[in-house]
This record gives sequence, C-alpha cells and structure tokens, in this order.
Amino acid sequence: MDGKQITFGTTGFDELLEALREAGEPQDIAWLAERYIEILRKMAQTEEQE
Amino acid sequence: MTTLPTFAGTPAERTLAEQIHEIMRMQGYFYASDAPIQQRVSLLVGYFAPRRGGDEATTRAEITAAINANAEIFAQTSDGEDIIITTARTGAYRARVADTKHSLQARLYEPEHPLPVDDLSIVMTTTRPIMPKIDPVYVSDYWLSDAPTTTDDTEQVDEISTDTDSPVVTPDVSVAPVKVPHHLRRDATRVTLPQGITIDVALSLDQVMGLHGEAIISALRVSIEKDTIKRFAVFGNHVAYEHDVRSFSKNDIRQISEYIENEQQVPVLDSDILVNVLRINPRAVDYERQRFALNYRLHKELEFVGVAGANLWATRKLLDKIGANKRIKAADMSAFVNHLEEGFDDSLTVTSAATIQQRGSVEHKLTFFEWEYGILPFNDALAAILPPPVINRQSNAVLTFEMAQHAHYAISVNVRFPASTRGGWLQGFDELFREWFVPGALITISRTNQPNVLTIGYTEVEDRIEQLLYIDDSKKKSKYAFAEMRVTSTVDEDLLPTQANVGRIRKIKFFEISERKNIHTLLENIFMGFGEEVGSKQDPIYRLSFEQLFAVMSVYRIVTRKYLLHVLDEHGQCTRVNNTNGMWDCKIDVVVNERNDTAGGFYDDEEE
Repeated sequence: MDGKQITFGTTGFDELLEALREAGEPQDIAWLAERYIEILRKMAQTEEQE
Repeated sequence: MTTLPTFAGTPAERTLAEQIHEIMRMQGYFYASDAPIQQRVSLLVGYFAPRRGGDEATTRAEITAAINANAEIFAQTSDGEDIIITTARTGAYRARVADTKHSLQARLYEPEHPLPVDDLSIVMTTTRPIMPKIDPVYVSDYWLSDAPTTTDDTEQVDEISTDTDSPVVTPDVSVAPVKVPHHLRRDATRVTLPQGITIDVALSLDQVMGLHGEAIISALRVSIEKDTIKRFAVFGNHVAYEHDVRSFSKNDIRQISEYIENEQQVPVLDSDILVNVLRINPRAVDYERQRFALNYRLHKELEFVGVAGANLWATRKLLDKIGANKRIKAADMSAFVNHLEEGFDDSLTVTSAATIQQRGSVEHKLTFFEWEYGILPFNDALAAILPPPVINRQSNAVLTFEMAQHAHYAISVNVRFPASTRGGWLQGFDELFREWFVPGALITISRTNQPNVLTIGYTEVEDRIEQLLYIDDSKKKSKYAFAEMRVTSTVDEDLLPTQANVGRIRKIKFFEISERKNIHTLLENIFMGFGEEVGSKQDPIYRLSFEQLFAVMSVYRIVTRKYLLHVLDEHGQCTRVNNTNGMWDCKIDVVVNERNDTAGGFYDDEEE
C-alpha cells in the first residue's frame, strides 16, 4: 500500500486491535502508537517490495 | 379549527354523507387540512351495513345516493374494481396549484423598476475591497528536519550542482539514466498525520517516535476516541479492547456510590473500591485488568476527581460539598482568572517552571482576595508542581493539602482545571488560610510522595498584632472593616492590608462579587479613592503608583501585574507619568466621579 493511500487513524486499525487483543492487558497509549507505526510500516513496505 | 362542509340531498342522504365524511376525517386526522383522503366504497359498505341494519346491496345504494348528492365534496374515481371517493378535512379536495406568478428568480432578472444602466455608481464601487489574507504555506516537516539527514550519493551530486561557484557541468548523454533519489522512493513509506505532519514509517521506531512521538500519540488518541464502533476502551493513558473490558452491574455501582458518599464521605481511590466493595484481591492475576475496567466503566457513572497516580472517585453530591463556596459563583470566579489563559500569567517571571519542578515547591504571596475567599489561582507556577489531569476534558480534581508545620491539619481542595480560554483555580482554603495566615502571607506549596497530597508551609516570625482588613458580613450590607490579627509568618508588607496601605478602601463603594468583573470600573474607583488629585475640579485627574494600585486591586479580585499593566495601557484615560517611578495618571469620567458625591452604595462614616 502506498503511503498516500494510508489514512492515519483508519488504515490498519483492525490489525492494531488484534495486537491489543493479543496483549491481553490494558496497554499504554505509547505502546499502542509504536505497534501502529510498525503495522503501517509493514503495509507500506509490502507495497514497495511488490 | 376545521370548517365542516354543508351537505346536500334528502335528510337521510345528508346524515349518511356527514357520517361518511366524519369517518374519512378520522382516517386523515393527522393529514394537512387540504390533503386528499381516499376511501373505497366497498369498505364503507362493509362498515355501515351492520351498523345500519340493512343488507350490503341496500347500504351500497344508500351510500352511492349520498355521495352522488354531494358530488362536490366526494370526488369519485374508479380503479376498475371499485369506486374510490376522495375528500379532504375541510370539505372538497382541491388539487394544490403552485403559484408561479411571483418568484425570486423572476424578480431578480425582471425587476419591476429596473435601474438605469448608465448609473455606474450602482454597479461599480470605488471602494477597494479588502484583500483576502493569504495563509502561510505549510512546509512539510520533512524539509525542515528530515531532509538534511539523508546522505545519498545522488543528493550529494545535487548539492554540488546547485553550488553557484562550481563550474557548469554539461550533462553527458551517454551516462546511464540517473537513479531515482532515495527520498522519492521513500514517498511510499510516508504517512501524513491529521495535524499535517508527515512521518516516514521506514525509519526506525526510535527515530519515528523520537521525532514525532507526541504528535503520533495525540493523533492516535483522537482517532481511537472517535472510533465509531467504539472498539477501544480508553482511560487516561491506557487502552484496552472494549469487548474484553468487564462491566459492572447496577447493584455494584450503587454499592460503590454508597461506599463513597455514606461510608467514606471523601473521594475514594480505585484500589480502595476494588478491595473494599468489589472484594478483589490486589494479588489477583487480573487485578490490573479489573482496575482498568472499574475506572473505565465508572467514568460514565461517577465523577473522576483523581490525578496522575491517584485515581479518585466521588459522587456529584460529594464533589459539590468539597471546597464549596457560597460567597462566590463559579462563573464570577472564572471571569477573575480568565486573563491567566489569555497570556497575562506572569507567575513564572521570577522562577522558571523547570526550577519549580526541580525544587518541588513554589512560593506564593497570599492576596487579600485569596485569603478572604479561600481561593488560589491556577497559574503556571502552581501548575508546575500540581499533578496533571488524567482524562481528556477533566474539569475537577480533589487534592489534599496538609500544613507542613502541623501535619495533623489537612483539608480537601477542589481543583478547577483551566480549559481553553477559561482560567482555573483551587477552592476550599477558607478555613486553612484563616486559621494559619493573614492576607499578604508568604506561603510555600510543596509536593509530597503522594501525588494527590501537597503541603503548605511558612516561615515563622516573632508574633505581632496588626489592624488588618476583613469583610464584615454581620450586617445586611457587607463592608470592609479592620480588626486585630496576629501575624505569625513572613508577609509581603506591600500586600499586608493595613490601615496605612488600604485604609482608604472604606471611601470606595463595596463592590459585590459580580460587580468586580468590570476591571475598568474598579480601576477608576481605586484611582479616585487612593489617587492624589493633580487635575482641576472640571477636569479631575488622579495620580497613583502602580504597586499601590495592584495591592488594592488584589483586595477586590485576582489580577496579575501583567494584566493590570495591560488594562492601564488599554485605558484611554490613563497615562504613565514621565520621570516617575511607576506612577500613573488617570482622568476619571464625570459620571464615575459624581458617584462619590451621591454616596449611593458608599460607606457613610457617620453610620458607625
């Protein structure tokens, strides 16, 4: 996915929710932000490799 | 009121027609008065036949006769199977015809009295239109911070070629095509935040968070709070999957409310509620999950009054009691502190926020107004040591203040956090201030190991008795008076409301709290009451030092020197006196000046 197609706050939220669910415990929002950046990076880089 | 039609025909036909119309009016009870109401004759036959005691054929004939006799009221149509009659609540149905005789469109293009074409002043103006303000162009963070760090070969070539001193290089067409610059390839990994900041997610996590961590967290918080499906449960800085957060029964909530309001009678920590009401063991594996669930769910039921590190809960009823001040309304108080949020907070002029945080304490000079009403302004200096709010748009918190020198003495104070342009304050110090201090006292507020507990300390001095100002509420009309008070701590002599400093306040009208919001009126009255007359009787001018003006103004309301200076500068009739040490001249309007003579609302010394 191209970075231009990524909408921060919408794209990858399902994956973020899954990460939060897997964590089990309530998490700090900074932790969540880091996971979200990782998810977005993965999405952007997948596109770049393709 | 609906006007009923007059029916024609024989008496029997008229009666039946009236009954049919009544039935149809009931059918269209909620219709517009001229809306069509339709009914099939067969259904009317089915309705009337048993009621009239005849067979269906006879009833049909009677109905047909009745509607034929009133053809204007009952329009008849047929769908091939049955006759359908149409009427309206007001009588006959008339199809609505749109009135197109007059329309705005026609009037605009075909005015009744067109203006002469040669009258150019009507169609042209010599006034120059206001030029639209052009917003500054947003420069991406990439160009401000990120771009110089990219050290790519291609970019280095670019840099050399843009150097004006370097010779012009003719491009060699035989050279292989220039590879795409790295920063262009990285466009695919660039994501724009809602604030307009662009981040490169290809950088390491530490780099991304280091550069834009706050913006990312802030944007993410907004996004998850706005999530329409509410999949995220947020409390403070913690987030959980909403579906997995346990709920509490109404009975649980009731027990918690009763525990806080009836048993404890003070705001209660979340951990206290978990252990004493919900019987959850602090060593339980899922304790933190339960704690989060409690805070998240209680947010909709009770008042959160905690601070970072101490999640305190209260009921609305209990919160209203903490620091309650019947003498001053929140709206009035808000007006006294709004200037703090408008850029006139000068509390960090002497000591910086960093120093205050490092020391963990802040010094404050208690003004008369603060002492009298038990209030402290939520200024930047105090904010530097007070714990921050936990949740978004948190309006209140309850803090405990202990006396450093008298540890047994503690009070609960209601913190009203500032919000956007509304200033904040702390209320509930009435008793503490009166017990231990006099107006003008120098106090030290310090943090403790507990986030919601602070101390107030002072430096003891040799006791002395002073005649100091206070508000005498014993009579119907409040007034300023002086009484003996024991001074036991260090004070700012300029703020000490002695007879010498503020004695003349008794010559000024006692302004009720709501009247003190207009600082200009106060200013003029203070100049008039305390200033030295330097003008003539026709053109009265009063001269007063800025420090004395500040000391007297502090009796009436909360004010900062910066704001007072701004008010003086803005005041059209006040000017700084040249070659003097902070003296100001203020010309007083005749209207204000006359009030002194009428004595309306002013003290009358003869009364005493």
